[in-house]
Amino acid sequence: MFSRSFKYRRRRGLYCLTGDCPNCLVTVDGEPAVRACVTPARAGQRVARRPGWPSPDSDIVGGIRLLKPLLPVGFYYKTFIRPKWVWRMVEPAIRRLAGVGPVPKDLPPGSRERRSHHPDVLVIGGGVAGLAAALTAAESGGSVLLVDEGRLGDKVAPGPTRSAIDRLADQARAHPEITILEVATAVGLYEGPLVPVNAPDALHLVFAGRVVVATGAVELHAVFPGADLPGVWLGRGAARMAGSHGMAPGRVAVFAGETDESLHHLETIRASGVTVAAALVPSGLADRVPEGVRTIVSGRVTSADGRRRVVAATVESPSGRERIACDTVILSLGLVPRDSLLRQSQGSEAIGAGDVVLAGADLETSMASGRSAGAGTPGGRREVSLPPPCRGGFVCPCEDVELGDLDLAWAEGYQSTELLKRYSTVTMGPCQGALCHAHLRSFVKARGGDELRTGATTARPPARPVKLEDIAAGARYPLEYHTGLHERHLELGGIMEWAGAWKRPESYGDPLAEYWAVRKDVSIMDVGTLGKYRVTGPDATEFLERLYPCHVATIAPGKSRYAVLLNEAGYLFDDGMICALGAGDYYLTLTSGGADAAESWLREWAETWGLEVHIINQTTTLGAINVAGPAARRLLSRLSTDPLEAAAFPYAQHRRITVAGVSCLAMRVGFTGELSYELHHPRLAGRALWDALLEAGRDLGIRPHGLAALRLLRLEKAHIIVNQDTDFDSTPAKLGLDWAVKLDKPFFVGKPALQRIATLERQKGLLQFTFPGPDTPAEGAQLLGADGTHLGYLTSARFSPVLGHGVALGWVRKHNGEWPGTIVAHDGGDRRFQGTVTTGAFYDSSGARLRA
Amino acid sequence: MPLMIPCPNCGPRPYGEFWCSGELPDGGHGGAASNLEADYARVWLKRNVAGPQPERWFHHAGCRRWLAIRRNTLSNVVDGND
Amino acid sequence: MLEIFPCDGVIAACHGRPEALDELPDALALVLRTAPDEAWLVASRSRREGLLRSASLWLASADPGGVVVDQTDGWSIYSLPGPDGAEVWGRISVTALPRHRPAFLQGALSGVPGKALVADQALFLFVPASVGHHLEARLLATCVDLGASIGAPSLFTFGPKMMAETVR
Repeated sequence: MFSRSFKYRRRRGLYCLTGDCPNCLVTVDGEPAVRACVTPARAGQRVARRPGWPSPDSDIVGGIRLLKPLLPVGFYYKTFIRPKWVWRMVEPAIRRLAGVGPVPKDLPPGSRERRSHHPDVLVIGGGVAGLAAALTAAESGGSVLLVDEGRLGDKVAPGPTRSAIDRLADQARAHPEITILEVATAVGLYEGPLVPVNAPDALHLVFAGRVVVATGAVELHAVFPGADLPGVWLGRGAARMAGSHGMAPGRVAVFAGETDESLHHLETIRASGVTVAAALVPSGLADRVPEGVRTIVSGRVTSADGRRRVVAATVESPSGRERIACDTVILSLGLVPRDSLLRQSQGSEAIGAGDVVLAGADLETSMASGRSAGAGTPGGRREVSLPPPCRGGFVCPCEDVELGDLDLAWAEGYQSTELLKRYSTVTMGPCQGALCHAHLRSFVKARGGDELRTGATTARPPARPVKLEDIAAGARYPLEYHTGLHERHLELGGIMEWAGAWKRPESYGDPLAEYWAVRKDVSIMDVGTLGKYRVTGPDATEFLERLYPCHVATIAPGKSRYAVLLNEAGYLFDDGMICALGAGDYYLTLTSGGADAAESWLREWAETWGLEVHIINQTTTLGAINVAGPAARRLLSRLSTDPLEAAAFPYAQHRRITVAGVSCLAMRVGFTGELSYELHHPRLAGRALWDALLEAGRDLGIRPHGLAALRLLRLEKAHIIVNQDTDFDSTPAKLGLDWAVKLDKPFFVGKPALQRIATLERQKGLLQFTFPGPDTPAEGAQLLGADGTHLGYLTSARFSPVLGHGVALGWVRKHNGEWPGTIVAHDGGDRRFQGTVTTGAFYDSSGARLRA
Repeated sequence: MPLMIPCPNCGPRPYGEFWCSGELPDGGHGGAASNLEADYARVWLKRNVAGPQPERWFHHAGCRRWLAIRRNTLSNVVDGND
Repeated sequence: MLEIFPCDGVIAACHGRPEALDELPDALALVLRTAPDEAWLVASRSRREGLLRSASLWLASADPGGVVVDQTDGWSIYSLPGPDGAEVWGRISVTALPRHRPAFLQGALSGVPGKALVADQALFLFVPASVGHHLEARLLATCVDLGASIGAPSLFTFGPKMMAETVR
């Protein structure tokens, strides 16, 4: 016994030895479902069979098959579902009992990478046809990549075919234009063509000019009662066992063969010491059966008997029915193309060669077919007839689907290959239909299915089982954007959090102390993630006038203006500052989150309007440090000789100054509500500037502040954060930002939409709330009217230390045609919070502190 | 290669290097709209063609410029630059 | 042994009319035409001030509406000397290397927007400075088998030695 089956835990022995059946699945070094027959062994590997209970060999749990009447096809729609608590009890048990082994949770994460290849020709399959194709393609000067899921020739027992493979393989290895990847499994055939190939060293993405699929054929799977017992072999499997591994597949065998190849297998098997009790062959081959072997002409094995393994086989033939004692049944009943990969191709980018299109062809024909495909012309095609209908047994050994299951599904109305597949899970196991697909089609055809319903099911990747971890090779590294001060933040104990694609300090350990440093002393923050664009050129002013809803031409050099960006639907999607550097020369800042996309917006319109502007993205080239707090000016004057008093450098203006020897564009901004200077500087000068500020401000109580403090500081001023307080359809009116929009302008992006919207009564708005006392509802709290009507939710909410009560922003609907004056907030806990609607900044409403 | 977009500055590049702005309206984007109805149709109503469709793509991972192509929405065949 | 050298260069980004930029003299420095209206002049950092001044002077007369911006700090430059370029390429890009040399490419490198200058004897990679650390980590991880390591920073140089006689 080699393994246990998926559903009923039936004993299974080796069967195909070509990587197609599920019978050899073992757990290697903790990893379940490894196909032993195509995986090279390495010293030190721990190999285990599926655990049974109490022992792998005697598995009481296998008694689950006594419950078969409760587990028909589609049972999860039928049994254990009422009352509902039954399924909750049963499902975990089924999950534990079924399957091929536990998934280890403690394996270290993989470190495989991925790499790309661009050969002219990709050949999948290293048999005679594949190797012939590779050599032909390379002769005409193209680069060739050949992949095989095992080592070349491994799956073929010694004989003429194996010798041919070995000979061609030597030539291919020596050829400079041919690269060979062994133990490399093609995952699927994607548009392009792109074939990901899973190899032990890496995931190889192969972008080929064209693809030759030479994946060969599988021997026809046998379906009859007992056909899945240990001791039943496919001919190629038994021959490989005997010829390549030198081990007899059994002692006494009943052999059934239909082709010339079968007779080679018969010889190989006998040579290993197996006694053949009977050979079942068609009449045309009868006289080629070796002397001394009992021959039964036109016979069929109709059942294999035994409980733990085969003990006898029942044979039916024109001369009657007979039960022959044996311990092995070997079946070589013809070939079925292993073509699921080929069928994944949509068009002409993949050509088949060899057995996959000419199943059962002789060596010469296969090689000719390969040469043809290597040159770019199709390698021929031969239709394979479907096997005769079966009369019992396991159709799908991977999923334990019996003929009776298919009969039941058919009776329930699932009367096509696609429907039967989905309902019974036939062909959905590790073999992906290599064994059972032909029988499924034969089943439908025998019941009168027309061409559509008998058709091959759609082939999709993966063609072979592949671990998710393998496909994720090289893709598990999150991309972090860093400012120039990133290392410095780590050194200062910064707790880094994701802010979009950036990593930024949430705080340096004490967000409350950082907050107070801004309100009372002085603090610095790294705002280098801001979008920064220089816009200049002959049409720059006209360009910005059309792009922004505010006046731009009236911004005198030296002055800055807060501005919002609207899309054509009139919705706000970004905000920032416009600084007029000089005539027709501007510096824009935008939100960190929108920084990257802003360039596409700016360029789109410049091109559409045919305006001559230069749009220069300086988001990464420049860093920015915000110096904020009542002592900000005192601190800066220690490091700069430039005039900083309010008269010389008022609020909402910018100046070029030198701070600690670094030339900066300093902007007086009001986001935090305190006296602030945002210093934009060359990125690489950031550390020197940061350290100089921290050093010079020691006695002023300086400490850096992070995002946690910032979110609270700006909320006390009722400033919005785009995408936190705004939604996809936030017009300026809804946000209380009417003052940032000048509808008297002849045109700006979004103006027609705002004009349309202005004719409608506004029903929704972002309002401000205060909550008394120390208890503040959480962000996301739902807002209800006095009568319990749902009105909206909070987008931002914090307790304000300086004010001593809660402050919040939230979306609210008009109630009975009126804006509410009070609301009740409900954040999922037991308490309700009474909130009052207010207007104007919560803190320092006159703005005296930031205009100092 | 899977879907390649022919960037006039950088040559054919994989589509993942671009942002697609979608179907290009007749007459492109607007200047001052004389007609609110026409503007509404232009912004909101898409034809959603099953076949060749004019589109604008932005090469964000490369030259960071816009380009226009005609792409067949059924076959994904790109018709070169407009 | 594959050594990856961070390079100290200067990037003078010239923005102007396409016809004007077409006439940019390559005697000034290495010219990388990133877009019709944008061309980079790239040289060793030791030439920073001089190059910016020369470029501004030239552009002022070729296209008075144009502007030269120092974009040096915005980019991390790495050089991978030696012929390993093609081997490394498949690990950081999903596109094929063109056959001509030198080749200037713009597109994704290890998932970030980047530019590459491919010569016979060297490979230069440009990525935004905010993700230089990412490219370094990815190069080290994907080229472990080539003995990859980060070398000491050196000055950016691109000269005739980069174009050896070896034919691809």
